[in-house]
Amino acid sequence: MTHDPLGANVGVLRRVFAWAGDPPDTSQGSKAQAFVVILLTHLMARSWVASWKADSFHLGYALAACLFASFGLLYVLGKPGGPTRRAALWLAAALQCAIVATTFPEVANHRYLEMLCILFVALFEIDRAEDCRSLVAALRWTFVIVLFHTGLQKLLYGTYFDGQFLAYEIAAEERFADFLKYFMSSEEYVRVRGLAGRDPGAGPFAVSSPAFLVISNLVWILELTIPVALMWRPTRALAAVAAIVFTFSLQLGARELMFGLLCANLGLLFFLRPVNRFFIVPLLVIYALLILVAAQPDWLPLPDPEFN
Amino acid sequence: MTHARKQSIAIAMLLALAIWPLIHFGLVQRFGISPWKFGGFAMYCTPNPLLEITIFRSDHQEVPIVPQSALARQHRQYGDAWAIWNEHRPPEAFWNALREAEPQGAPFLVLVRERRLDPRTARMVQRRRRYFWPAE
Repeated sequence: MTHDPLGANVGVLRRVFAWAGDPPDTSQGSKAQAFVVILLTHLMARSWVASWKADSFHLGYALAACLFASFGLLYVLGKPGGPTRRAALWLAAALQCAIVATTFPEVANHRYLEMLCILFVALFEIDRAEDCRSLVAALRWTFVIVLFHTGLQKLLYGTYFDGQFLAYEIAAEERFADFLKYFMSSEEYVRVRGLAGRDPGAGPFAVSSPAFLVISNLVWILELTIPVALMWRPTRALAAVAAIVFTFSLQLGARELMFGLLCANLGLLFFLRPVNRFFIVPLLVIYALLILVAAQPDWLPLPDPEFN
Repeated sequence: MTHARKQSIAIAMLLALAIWPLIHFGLVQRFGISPWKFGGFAMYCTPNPLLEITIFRSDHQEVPIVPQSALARQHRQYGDAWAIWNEHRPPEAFWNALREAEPQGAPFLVLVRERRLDPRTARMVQRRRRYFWPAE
């Protein structure tokens, strides 16, 4: 009898894990391959952008970007199922783990998500059908769990029921004000912007405009319900569209474009067909633009890279 | 490695991903650590605290923070650490940089004023902490 590492609860856990999967007769290979290419590009671009942030050039991140690029090249040039590709993925995973470990505790949460993704990609062998199915299921579960928790945390912290958090951000940051001012009355907008000093006792950072309250509460409601819809096959495709549009819009508003792209890459995995293959080139173009914007060469007039 | 073992590892990782944010929430409530860090995925749930860290010397005058000095670096790092780990006494490196910048200034007082958004009242609340060197 084969010993199952998960023990007595193996049946339940594996069945739950399989909820995120597709029918066994569907091919996952090209979908997974596209995800890997986009993920490796993302890791490289992320490190490159990080090397140019703040007021100085960070050599460590630039080196990491070069290494990720090298691993990506190794992967692309390596034989499918061969040791070169396996080595490239494990090296990328090790580098990402090293980045997280050496920047802890300041490391952004997005980095943990990237680390999980590359670890799953390294763990499973895409060229084996059952590994590939498990990889896609693991990545889908990752997206679902993270999205659900972002909604649950908002519910637990209680800062979205009266728009408190968003009102605070309007007072504190231009990027939120630019996006959210259209959902509140001009009087309320002026009042909230007037709280920018955030002195002791300042407030209330709450908004009564109905449209604003709908937006504020819709955020956590969607973060809780979209994951459920993603897990149910009949609603999966529609939920995937909603998830990508929703998360990308949020991250665009927050100017965290990199995280938005990562979410898009994960969201595209939920379609039955390998739809993400058609997005490889557009996404690579976006990453290339972000890399260029981060470097801000003098010979190219570009906007300030106020993004994460 | 067998497929079953790989799947077991993946499931264990996903279980940890599912459970950890709840533990993190508890740690935030109990110890005040940052909701924005540590993989709890509680970003954009509550704003980061606003900090003012002021240093006074023995004659009650404020110690100026010279940009790009060792003290400025320690001052910034202390503020960053406070935002992540919550209130704590400045580390030895901070006091050393301070004594180097103000060799005749002891004893010192570090006053930390922290402002946070109280979600129940939707208003800013402030708390103050004082740290002395030599320690009282």
